[in-house]
Order: sequence, then structure tokens, then C-alpha cells
Amino acid sequence: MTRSTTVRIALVLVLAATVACTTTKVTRVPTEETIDLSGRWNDSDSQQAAQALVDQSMATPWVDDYMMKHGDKPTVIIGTLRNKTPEHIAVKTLVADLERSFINSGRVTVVASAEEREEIRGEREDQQRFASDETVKAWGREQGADYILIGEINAQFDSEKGKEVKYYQVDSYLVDLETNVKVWTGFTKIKKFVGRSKYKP
Amino acid sequence: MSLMRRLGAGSTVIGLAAAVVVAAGCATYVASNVELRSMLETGAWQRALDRIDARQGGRDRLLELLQRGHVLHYAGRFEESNAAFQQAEDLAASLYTRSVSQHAASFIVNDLTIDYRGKPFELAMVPFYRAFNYLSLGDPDAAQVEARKATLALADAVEATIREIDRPEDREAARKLEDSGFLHWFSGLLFESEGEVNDAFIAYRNAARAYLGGTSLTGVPPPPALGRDLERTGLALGFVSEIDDLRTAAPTLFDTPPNGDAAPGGEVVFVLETGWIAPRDQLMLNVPILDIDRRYGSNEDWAWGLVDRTSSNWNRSTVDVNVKYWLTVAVPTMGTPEAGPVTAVHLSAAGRTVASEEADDLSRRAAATLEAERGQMLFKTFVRALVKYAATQAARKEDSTAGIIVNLLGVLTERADTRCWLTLPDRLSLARLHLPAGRHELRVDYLNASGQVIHSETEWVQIADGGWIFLNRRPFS
Repeated sequence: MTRSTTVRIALVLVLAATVACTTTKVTRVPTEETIDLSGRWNDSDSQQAAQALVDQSMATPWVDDYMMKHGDKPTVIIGTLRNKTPEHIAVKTLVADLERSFINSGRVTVVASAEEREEIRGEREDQQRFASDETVKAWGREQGADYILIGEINAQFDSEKGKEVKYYQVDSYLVDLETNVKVWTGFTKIKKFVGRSKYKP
Repeated sequence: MSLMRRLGAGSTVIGLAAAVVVAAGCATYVASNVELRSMLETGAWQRALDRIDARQGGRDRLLELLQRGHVLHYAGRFEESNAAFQQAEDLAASLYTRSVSQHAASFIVNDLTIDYRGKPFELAMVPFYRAFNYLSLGDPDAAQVEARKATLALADAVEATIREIDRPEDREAARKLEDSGFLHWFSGLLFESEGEVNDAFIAYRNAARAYLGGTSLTGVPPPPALGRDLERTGLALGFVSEIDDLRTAAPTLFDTPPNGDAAPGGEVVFVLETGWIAPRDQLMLNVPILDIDRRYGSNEDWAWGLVDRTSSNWNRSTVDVNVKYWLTVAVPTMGTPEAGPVTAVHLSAAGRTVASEEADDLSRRAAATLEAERGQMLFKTFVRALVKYAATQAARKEDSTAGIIVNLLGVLTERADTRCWLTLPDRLSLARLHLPAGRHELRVDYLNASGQVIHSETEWVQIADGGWIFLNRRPFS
């Protein structure tokens, strides 16, 4: 091996090292754009599931039945959605998406969750001491919910040779808070195929 | 060629050889990192983290993340531990895609040129530690997610291992690594703690099957407490005939006296981690190249022939041949586990005392993993050795100095891949204490191999009816 060959090899190695260096590139994308990176449950799945469940719920007669009986919109509270999958799912995001979809439907009233109520009551308690008589809010005027939405997320994963099928099912139920009667049940499914390359350069 | 020209060319090649050797590293992974253990023994968490961070990058990134998550767990920095473990899981998933350039380099240099992808039993321990992290952070729902992940992680990692193996018999050996009685059992306990009795029963049943089928792999029989869990949850669900079937198939599983866990009260689950897992060591093997080896049609066939030559059944004296050359190769072998000073615990509270039961042997899992990988690993080692041998022979024909240098290069870069998660314990044991509701002073007696108490500690636990408390302890010294 000659010195010139060695120099050429060294140059190629330096060039390869330079090309191999990674740089961080950030691009802003529309929030409604679906971007799947790992195949795990993501923001798009959450929005899609929430919209599907609310659409199903609004297409059934329980709202009309309630309005005919009471002459007003039903009040709903979003309860617990249990994550029974082997993935960490931001359930709070799904709950927020459900609340938003229900509110935007214009057909139901949504009240604050148990956690949010604690904060609101703290603020109201604070008002009793520090707010003016004209602006202080009274105790005992909270609107009680007629129905609670509860549910769970289940998943089945099947994988072989770098290919994986992920099946998620979100089941939810609207339960009458006074009678425990389930007035509506619905579910939505999301199925994904995750393919991993066997090789990279 | 003049002597000066020879030396000139030689010095250039020596320079390249040195560069490759430097790139390949000097000491084995274990030798370079074993001091992490002494840092953990003295509770020097930050020093251990600094030590891990100092080596950041490179082909051992997964091990750095695993060990970082592990040290942070013991340091009580649970959120940071989860973050490191999440990074490790993401990286392990991405490493399913093999780098062609790394693999090509591994056929010339050694296996250390390939990103470490983690062994199945290592990756399966991540959800175990993450579950405890979430329990410590007061998030039992997230701990449930880890319980569901645990056995899936093991199966996925075994699948990735099998993909690397060619011989059916080695694949079959690898498939035996696919189950872990302990992980199923631990998952079942987490499910039951959250009232998921059906999921718990299924997990206990899988645990029983894994223990019964894997005793030869780990040497750990089904723990008596598992039988009680299976019976309690099965009968609660009305699965009487299924319990009877299991009792017929495995009577020893149910051959334990009741411990009063059906009485009102709550449960303490105490996981004891002891010792240090057996590390991988490097072994230098000398294997003969015979004058009849020209019969092999390809390097692959030749390499499998050399694999057979490492078997204790191979006897050279039965073959009338001459040794042409001795190939020296470096292969990983299992080191010795360290049992540690503590081998068991006694838990006492409210006038009751229970002893821990052995639940898993990670060192034996590590040994079984190496055994399953051994055939493929030896094959690849010999393919590489034959490439180096051919390069040496070709260089020697051109120039004797170049031949010596190429041979030297081959010898110096020959290193076994001894990378492993060094901070894992050798064994896991589990103690269960059923207590009436209320506040109790829990006493933990740590015992040595002779059964003598070498250390004790107490802590107050608040037991609710139907409540569960999970504790894990690692007595380092």
C-alpha cells in the first residue's frame, strides 16, 4: 500500500464522517396533518376517536328523548376512560377532544370534571374572602350532570418479522347518573400497520 | 523491494492498523464498565451517572440508556429513569433495522462495530423497573401499562434474536427464551391490585405454564405463592374446572397451605433483587485449519465446519490430516454471577412473618441466551477469521512484511462482543404478606446464604382493605 493510497483512504473516511454527521431540522406542519412516526397512539388517533364517538352519540335518539322529556339540553360530564393497552396513551388528550367535540355539537352541555371542579371551588372559596359583593360567586349553584361518559381503550398487537398490526378499540358508554341506565354505547376502531425496514445503509 | 520501501509501506499500514485498533477499543466492555458496580455498592449514584454519560454515543448507546435508567431508578429519580428507559425502548425498536455498513464492518473487524440491540431478558426488565417507577410516582394506571408491555417486550426481543439465527436447532433454543414466569406473575399481581381479576388469572396461568416449562432454563420451580394466587382468582371467577385441570396437570403448584390471603385486608408484595448478573467474558479459541479444508466449496461451509471443530465431540485424532494453521478467535463466554451478601428476606408485621421465595435467575437466563446465540455467533466469528486468514495469505504472497502486518491487524482487532447490562441483579425473589387493614410497622430482615440476619430495617405501611403495596429493594452491600 502506497502513501498516496493511504491519503486517498483517509480523505474518503473524512468525507464519509462529514456526510454521516446529522443536523437537526425543524419544519412547522399543520396541526391537522397526520404524522405517524412510531406507530404508537398519537394526537391524530385521539382526535379521530373522539370525533367518531361523538358523531355516533349524536346520531342516536338519546338527546332528542331527553329534550322532549325535559325541554332542555342534557348535561354531560366526561368521566374516566381507562387505558387497558400496553401503550402509554395520553387519556387526558382524548377526554379533552371528547369534551370539545361534544361542546361543538351544540346539542349538549358539558360540565367540568372532578379534577377541574376542585380548582374552581378553590377559586370560589378565595372569592368569598377577597372578591367584592357584586362580583362574588355563590356556593351551591353548580350544574349537576345528567349523564356521565365512561369507557376504556383496549388494544391487540400482532407482530412478525418486523411487521406489526396494531388494533385499538375505544368503547364508551353514557350512563344516566340517577338511574345507572346506559342510554348509549358506542365504539370506534383504529387499525394500523407498522412496517420496519430490514436494512438501512 | 528495498528494506526502506518495505518499512515505509509498513509504517503506513501500521498507522492504519493502529487507527482500526483504536476504533475497535482496547479492554472488553465488561472490564471498562465493571466499576459501575462498585459505585452502586457505595450509593454513589451521581458518580455512576457521570461515568455512564462520559461514554455517551457510539455503538453502546442502548446499554448507556438502560444503565442510566437503572441507576436513576435506584437513586429515586423515577421520572428521569422513565425518560431514559423510554429512550432505550425507542432505540431498541429502531435497531430492528440492521445497518448494512455496520454488519459489513463486523465481518472484517469484530461484532463491536454493530449497535448493541439488547438481549431479550434485558429488554424485558425495562417494564419491570418502569412499573415500580410509576408506582412510586403514584400512577398505578401507568404501572398497569408496563405490566401489559412486559411479556410483549420479551416476545418481540426473542423474535428479533431468532431473526439473526440460521440453524433450526439454535432457533428452537432461542424460542425457549420467549417466556418468563416471573414477568407473567408480576404482571398478574399488578392487574389484581387494580381489580382486574380476569386479567390477573390469565397472567397467573401463563406464569404457571412458564415456570413449569422453564424450570430447566432457570432452575427456578413455580413459587408456592403463585399456586395460591391462581386458585384464589380462579375460584373468584368461577373457573372451578380449569383450576381442577391445572391441579391435575401440576399438583405441586397447589401443594401449599393457605396463608390467610382470603381474609379481609391488603397485600404487601416485596421484590428482592440480589447479587450481580453473570457478565460476558472473552475467551480466545484456537481452531486448526487443516490441509483437507480445501474440500469446502465456500467460506460459509468452511465456517460451519470450524464451528463443529469447537464442539467437545470433535476429535482430531480420528482424522488423518495435518494442521496447516491455527486460527485464533475471540468469543464471548459466560462469567460467574456474584451472589451478593443477601440471598433472602423475612417480612414481619402484625405478628405474621413470611419468607421470600425465589422467582427468577437472570444469570441463568443470560447463559441460556448465549447458548442459543452460540452457533450463529461462532459461525460469524469463523467467517470473519477466514476473511482475515485469506487476507493474510494474500498479503504474504505479495510481501512478507505486509503479511505480518495484515496478520497483526487481524489479531489486534479480534475481540469478543461481551457487551451486557452489567448493573442487573443475579436473582429476583418475592415475598408476600397479607395484613389486616390499618397502619403497620413492616420489618424487613435481610438474610445471608446461611440464613443469618445481617441487616434489618423497618418502615410504616398503610394497608387498605383490598389494597396492595408494592416494594422493591436491592441490598447492594
